[in-house]
Amino acid sequence: MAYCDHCKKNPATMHMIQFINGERTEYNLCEECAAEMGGSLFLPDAQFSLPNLLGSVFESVLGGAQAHKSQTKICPSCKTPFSEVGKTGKVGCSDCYAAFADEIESSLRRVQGNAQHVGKIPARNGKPAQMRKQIERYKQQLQKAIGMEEYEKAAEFRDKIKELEKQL
Amino acid sequence: MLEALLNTDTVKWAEMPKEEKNGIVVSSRVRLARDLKQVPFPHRLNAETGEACVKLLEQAWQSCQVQLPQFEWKNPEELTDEEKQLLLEKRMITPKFAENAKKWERLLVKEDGSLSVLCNEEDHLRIQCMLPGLALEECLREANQLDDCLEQVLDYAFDERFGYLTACPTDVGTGMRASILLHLPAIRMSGQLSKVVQNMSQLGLNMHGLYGDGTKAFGNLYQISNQITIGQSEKEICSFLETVAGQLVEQEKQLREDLKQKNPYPFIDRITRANGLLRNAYMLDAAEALSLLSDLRLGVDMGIIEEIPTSVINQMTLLSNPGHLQRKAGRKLSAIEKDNLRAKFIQEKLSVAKTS
Ligand SMILES: [Zn+2]
Ligand SMILES: [Zn+2]
Repeated sequence: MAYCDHCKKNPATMHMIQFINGERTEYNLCEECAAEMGGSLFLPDAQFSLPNLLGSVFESVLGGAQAHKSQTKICPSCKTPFSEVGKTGKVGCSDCYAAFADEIESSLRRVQGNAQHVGKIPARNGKPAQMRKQIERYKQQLQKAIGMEEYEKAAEFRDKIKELEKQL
Repeated sequence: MLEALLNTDTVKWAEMPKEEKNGIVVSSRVRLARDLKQVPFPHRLNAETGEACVKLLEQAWQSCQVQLPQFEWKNPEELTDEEKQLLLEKRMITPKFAENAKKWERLLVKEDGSLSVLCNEEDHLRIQCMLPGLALEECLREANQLDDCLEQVLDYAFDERFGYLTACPTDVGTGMRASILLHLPAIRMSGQLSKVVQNMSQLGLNMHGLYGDGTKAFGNLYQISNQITIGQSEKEICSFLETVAGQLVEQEKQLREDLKQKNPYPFIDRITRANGLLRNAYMLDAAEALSLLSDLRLGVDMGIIEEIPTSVINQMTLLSNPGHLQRKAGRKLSAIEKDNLRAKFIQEKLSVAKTS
């Protein structure tokens, strides 16, 4: 169980993200502290400077040393050049994400602070992703079972993991 | 079916249940962006690929029809400009779709207007659910259901790292925008709006006016929405947004009390005056109506004037828009006629609300 980052006493039940000068800070807080900190965020004279989150996602990438190499990349499927993506802020097809993976990843990290999806997985087209997630869950349960010296249960989880890994 | 919805002065998100007493949170919305594999994204479609894409989407909808009996599939070419204006005012379509829908764009819509899907607009699918009050979780559940239905048939573009692959990389990950519409007159009156907007931005949220923008938002209706779409789950994003909305509600309530205590006479006068004007004016322009309706909403919330159901105030707000006015009048109106009928229709609503 995670404890509150602020009071270090109560279990953390809330997740809070703050942007200060473009820096992203994440907190795990208990309800009381979250209410307290949230309240203080609305104080009239809170002084912060603003990060520009709305700017083009690719501005930062195009300015870097990699710029020239990125500019000349083209998606093999839809033939959209990366230079166009930088201008319009839109990619041409889903394969563009593979073609421009480095550029997209680094701009997502800058703008959104993260580039790893943790949300919903589609039932059909996300099968491998879902299986990998399930394997992760079984692995955690396996460790737990070993810790509790429930070896029969552990063996069960081991079999389940093997079965899923075979299917992948 | 859509015809029936277009003939009413309301839409699902405006129909706040009577027992809901908090008039500050008006409505909640969740929008999911979904795109297909191996099909160019909408802005790259042409006559040929566009038609093929529409076919795929229509087939998906048809195979879901049993699960979705209250839905209707609409080609924007079958809609008049007036009807598109109505859908826009009910917040079911975007200005882009209303003004300039391409041949391969479509609208899938539920009869009460709570769910709609824009096809081939910015993304192949933009699934939207809007409900009254603080209801992001329910919006998400309903949008997900429709999403799951369509995904049984459609091959979504999905990547384990980047999540749902969208036309705009700023939507990638969950592909979700959640938003909450709030009525914040006291924050505006006390001059704290720009600070609140800044605070929202620091929290990774966007804030803008529903009618007009920033400090010029008519009717004091503001929308907050998430900017972050990747690295957090849909539920986390929604619950964070609801937490922040809760804090805004508390701040708004506190400021309302402060304003009333500091200057009780002018504060109450402002509200009773708005009530009087709305009930007696012969002409009301849109900006004035929205501003008076905001004062009325505030007065009802604070118990300064007699109770008027929130849904009726929402209906009057919708009716202040030109499309709804002309629909109710049954004809095109000049600017002067609009101002006159706006006043008249609002008075009709108020007199009915009084007797019921
Ligand atoms: Zn704490
Ligand atoms: Zn491409």
